[in-house]
Amino acid sequence: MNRARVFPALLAFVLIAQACAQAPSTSTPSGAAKTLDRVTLASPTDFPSLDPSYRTSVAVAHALINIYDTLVTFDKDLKLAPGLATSWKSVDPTVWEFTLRTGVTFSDGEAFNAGSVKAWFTRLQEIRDKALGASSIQLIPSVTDVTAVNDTTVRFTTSQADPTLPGRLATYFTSITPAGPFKAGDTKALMAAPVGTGPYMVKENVAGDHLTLVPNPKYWGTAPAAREIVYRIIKDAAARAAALRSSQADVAFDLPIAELAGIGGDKNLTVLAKPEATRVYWFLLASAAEGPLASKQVRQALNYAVDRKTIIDKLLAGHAQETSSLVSRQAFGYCDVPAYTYDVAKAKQLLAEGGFPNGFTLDVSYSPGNTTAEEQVVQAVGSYLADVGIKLNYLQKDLLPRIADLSAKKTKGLFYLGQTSPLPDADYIFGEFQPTGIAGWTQPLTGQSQTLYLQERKELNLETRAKLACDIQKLQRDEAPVLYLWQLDLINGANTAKLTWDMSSDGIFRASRVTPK
Amino acid sequence: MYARYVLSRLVHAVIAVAAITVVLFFLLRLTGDPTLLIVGPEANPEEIARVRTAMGFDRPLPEQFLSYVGHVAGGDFGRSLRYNQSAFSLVLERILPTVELAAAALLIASVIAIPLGVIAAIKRGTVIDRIAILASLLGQTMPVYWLGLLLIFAFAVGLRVLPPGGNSEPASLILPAVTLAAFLAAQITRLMRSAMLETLGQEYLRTARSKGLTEAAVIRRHALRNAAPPVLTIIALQLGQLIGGAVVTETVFAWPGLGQLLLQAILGRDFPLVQAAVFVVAVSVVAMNLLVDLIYPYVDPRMRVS
Repeated sequence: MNRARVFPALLAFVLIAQACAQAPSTSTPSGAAKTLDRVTLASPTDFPSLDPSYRTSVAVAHALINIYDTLVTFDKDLKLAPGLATSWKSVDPTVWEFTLRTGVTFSDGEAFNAGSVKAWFTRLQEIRDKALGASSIQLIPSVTDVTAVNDTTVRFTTSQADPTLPGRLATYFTSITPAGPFKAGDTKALMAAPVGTGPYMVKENVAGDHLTLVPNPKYWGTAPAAREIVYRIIKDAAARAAALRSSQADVAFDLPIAELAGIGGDKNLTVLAKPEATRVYWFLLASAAEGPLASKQVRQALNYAVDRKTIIDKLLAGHAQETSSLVSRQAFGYCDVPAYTYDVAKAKQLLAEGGFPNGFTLDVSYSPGNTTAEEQVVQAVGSYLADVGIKLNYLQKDLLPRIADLSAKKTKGLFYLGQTSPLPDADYIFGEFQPTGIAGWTQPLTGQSQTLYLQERKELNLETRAKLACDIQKLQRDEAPVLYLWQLDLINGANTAKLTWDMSSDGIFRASRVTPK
Repeated sequence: MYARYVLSRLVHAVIAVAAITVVLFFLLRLTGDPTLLIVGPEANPEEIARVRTAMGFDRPLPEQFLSYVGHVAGGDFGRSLRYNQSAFSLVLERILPTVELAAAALLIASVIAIPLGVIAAIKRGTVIDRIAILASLLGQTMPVYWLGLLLIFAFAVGLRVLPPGGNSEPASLILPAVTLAAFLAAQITRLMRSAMLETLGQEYLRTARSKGLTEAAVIRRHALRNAAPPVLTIIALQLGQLIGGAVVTETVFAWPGLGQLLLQAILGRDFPLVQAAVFVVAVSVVAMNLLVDLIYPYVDPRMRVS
């Protein structure tokens, strides 16, 4: 071939391939609702396991939620709504009764009934008791037994009154799995071949590359609009933004702030940002039992020393809301406690009262790149603390090894953390401040706060429980067990010329909330 | 004679792979206990302890080592802690895209760099030579991550003529291969140029010219052939290294290769997967070294004598 023709030929090939790839992707069969042929999602994480009974990363929920159903679910405003259970009630302080939906089958044809719920719970116990992995039973720690009353009624018995149980049964890791796939003895059968009652089922899961879902023909609810959902694994945030901007992805999760201007400038794309209801950011004070952080005045001084507003405006482009509460604003029991203001003089005064007028040095442990602008945020906080005489030693490590160090009590000083709470309820966060929770490893609730928590966790009256939760937050605001920071926005992007995604504030991608434009 | 040489290289190769496999076991254990990474950040200390015992990570290191050697000797690297699939199968799934990317990058780099290096040496001190030096300097100093994103924004976001990543279509290979080729081409150009410069100053080229050979024939038959061995060595070694080392390029372009898998496995302390992946990479590097050793005598007749 003439060399001069090679390049044009190659270019033509590429353009034709591109044109084919960009063929129209919405269609309207006559007489049917408008559908989307394919929705491609740029996802930062892959899906090594699709069995919800093993707790893995929160990111897996983006897929789980579309394959499985929970007994209870969250509506767009994170209020409880019927899922596989149509109603529920407390029939005794320690017994919750759920009435199940009829006519539901798993995607492999197995019928869903009260026996399925009982078998699912038995399996969670088995995973825990045989140490097969991290059992999702930890999300429902109070449940001691599940009884099938009849085909459509199931009862959960708890060790003590548990007002949060319906909410806990709405979290994605409590999705109901069938009993059939485990009959051959493979306890991990669902990891690679998931079977659920949800709107989709897995067509293909190529580790580290993509996951493809197609509609579950046996789904009990309204058929979803997208005929195929492809999760493309793109770990690099800038590359995810590029995939969205080049129309290779219709939705991109977890976009970096630096890319938002480029996306906002494209009329076909929309930045979807809203406060993340299931995560609050703070620095755990990991050595509070000894040294300077044992002093309440010093802990309060840390909180007065940081100008959160400036950090939010300058580093986070306004995509955060400062807070001095342990609980997210959207969670049940949130209480609007007075925020710590930026007050250097007060911080210095408190340091002097705490016995450290000349400051001191602390370690700070963090994982650059793990959360939005983590490196810059930690450095900025460090510079504010330096202004009041507190110097930081910066220690970088990946998140999970850091948590391992924290668990082994090797961490001293500040520990940067976006504390997740799959259940948007104050009770869940207070549970993290128990000796078995990550914050409780170093800072368990004590005194009056703990007394109130023990009342709150078994209070069935919503109003009384909310008041108890509020009282705990007020006490903890004063106690300053953490250096309070903020709630960050979830920042996703979508091709809104093609589809509409009604994103809820937990940020989880529910395909049923995607509709064609 | 050649058979003994081949046998000796093979023995060295086997020892190298075995040594890497053993050293890797202990190095990995120095990184800490993977239990927490298996059970996740929400697990409580009791749960962590239970899983640690079940996985055998609380057993004495010599005991774990003997068990590891026994399994590896039988070709069993175990199941990935993260994916719960055979670690070796996962690695084999990823090796093909990686080889594909590495081969494409090496092809692009060689096609550009070998002629450029030769011309730069022949035209030493001219504008062409300076351009070649500048281009190779740029290629070696430009961060791969930055170049990758630049190409994505130019050709995928701006012109929209190429996909920004993945490997769902043949055109997906172009951008990552070009990105990876940039660094390689720079290295090969510099090496080719210096090897040619050294050769061009040799007496035997003057003899060749005095025999009446054309300059093109002198370059092709005598200079290039003598300058080739070091370049060939680098190309072969790079191919071996690329199999495990194109992590940044694979990440930027979401290329589902071995480098990305290995990185994730290391970060997640997925011991079986790291062991299987490093074994494959080690075998690749050693195999490429071996190949170079074996073909050297054919490329350079002087090697046959030694």
